[in-house]
Amino acid sequence: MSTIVEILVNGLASGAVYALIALGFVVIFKATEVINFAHTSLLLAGGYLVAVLHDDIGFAGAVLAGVAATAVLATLVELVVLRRVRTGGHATLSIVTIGVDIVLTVELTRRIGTEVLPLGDPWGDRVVRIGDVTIAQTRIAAFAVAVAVIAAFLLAFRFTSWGVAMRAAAENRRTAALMGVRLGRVSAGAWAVAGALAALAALFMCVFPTPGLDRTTSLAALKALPAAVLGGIDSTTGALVGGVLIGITEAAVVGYQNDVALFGGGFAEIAPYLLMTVVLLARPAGLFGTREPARV
Amino acid sequence: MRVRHGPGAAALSVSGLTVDYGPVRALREVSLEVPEGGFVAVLGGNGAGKSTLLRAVSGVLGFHGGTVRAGDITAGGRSLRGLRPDQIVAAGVVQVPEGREVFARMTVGENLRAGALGVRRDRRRTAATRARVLELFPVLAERDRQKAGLLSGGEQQMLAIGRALMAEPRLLLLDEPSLGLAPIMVERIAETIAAINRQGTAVLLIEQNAALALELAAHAYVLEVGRVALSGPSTELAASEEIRRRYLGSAGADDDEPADVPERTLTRWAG
Repeated sequence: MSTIVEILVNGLASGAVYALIALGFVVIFKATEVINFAHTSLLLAGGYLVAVLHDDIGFAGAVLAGVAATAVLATLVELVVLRRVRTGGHATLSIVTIGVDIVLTVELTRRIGTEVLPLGDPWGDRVVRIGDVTIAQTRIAAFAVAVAVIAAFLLAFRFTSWGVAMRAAAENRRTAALMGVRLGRVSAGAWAVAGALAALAALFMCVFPTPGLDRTTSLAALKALPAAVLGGIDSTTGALVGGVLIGITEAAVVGYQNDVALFGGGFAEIAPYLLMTVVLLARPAGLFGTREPARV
Repeated sequence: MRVRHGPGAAALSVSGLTVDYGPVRALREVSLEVPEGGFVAVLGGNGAGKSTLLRAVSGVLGFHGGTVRAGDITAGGRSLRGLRPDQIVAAGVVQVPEGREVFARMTVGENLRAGALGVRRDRRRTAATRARVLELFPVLAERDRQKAGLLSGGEQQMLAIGRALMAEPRLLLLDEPSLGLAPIMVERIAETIAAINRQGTAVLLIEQNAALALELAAHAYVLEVGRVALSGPSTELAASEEIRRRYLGSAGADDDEPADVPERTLTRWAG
């Protein structure tokens, strides 16, 4: 019984972090119809900044600086690289982000090397015991922060002018432009928000039980892409549900790995992609995705 | 007559406008003018370049792969050519696109809010504008929290017009507002457009429904294959044999085949 509760709690916590990352994919897709393959390397950059800064300016300062700097970096990618590519096709732009991803990853990997960098978080490996259920404090922090940030994001998306502009642009870019929405600003804003969310997610991906930030952190974060896709790449609700589904699936596979030994030791690595494939077979647009309405 | 042609005072002045879509020329040296507070219609069949004209004015040709090759577009004496769509909205020129294009997944209220995104106004003024729009279209107030995609065609057209009015335009561009609507709804939309014009907003109306357009507008232009073929006061155009045969479908005319009419006679009013 305690196992299943622990699996659910851990799955929910890491699912909330995946949801943060998946939300970044969705926001950028909604604003620009681009799938940002550089998202996880931006996340790596955010985590790296927290790792190198926390000794000097403290943990909280490092997190703030890392989040802000990653938002700026993401905006720069949009302004300097994507906006200059005038080929028009969204698919082309998505491929350009693969190039950006390679450049960022190579540079960060060079800097990180083979080290595992601690992020200097205040929770360490402390745990909370409720009955016979053991939960790491980092998981609780991850869940609480992710829920608060996601709630703030959704409220802004629903009620602020920024949110209205984003949704208008997502629905019909040309009509949004006709209403005076500044599409350039919308997409730059989307990249900034996605970058900030990614940096925050990086923090929680690199704390206990993970030993710290290393060069494979971005690979672990990439599991949020199946989360975004299976939820529906243009749906914020989908990102949240997808994130939690991936988190719980992963936790379950790890928790019951002896029972799924049939699939081999690394099954947890591929389970998210398997889940995505199954969902897409049943629902090609994802759980909450909207099918493109046919224009006549 | 409502037309007040005065130099420099025009709500919109298009001169020598030439537009290409790649190798295809869509507009050839089109010139027209909408006086301040005036009501002008542009008639023409499919592919005459009517929508292209509005796209050029609103600065959204780029979305369709079009470019302005020559000519100028000014609103209130200020050149719009080369401005971004949001700058054109800020200059007071707002378009109601063809096919309504309301934001279907957003509520009616949010659609109206989206219409005000292009102009910087304080809350109180936006609220006042919204109240005026809802007064014009009371049904939108009833449907405030409904998804716009669930509205009927006529209601969507009202929302599309209301959304554009939220930007308090000096010139309203309407692209085929009667398209696909029931006759009774066409009548209501027409009355509303006339009312908007009476309140001081200049209107440039694109229509295939020539009878409706000539009834509403003081002045009209006829576009044919990208050129201005005819222009003049609506009453004169409505009385002309040419227009009656080609666009008003008077008895005996073959209105499916306008090309049957000799091209030559049309140029009498050209220029």
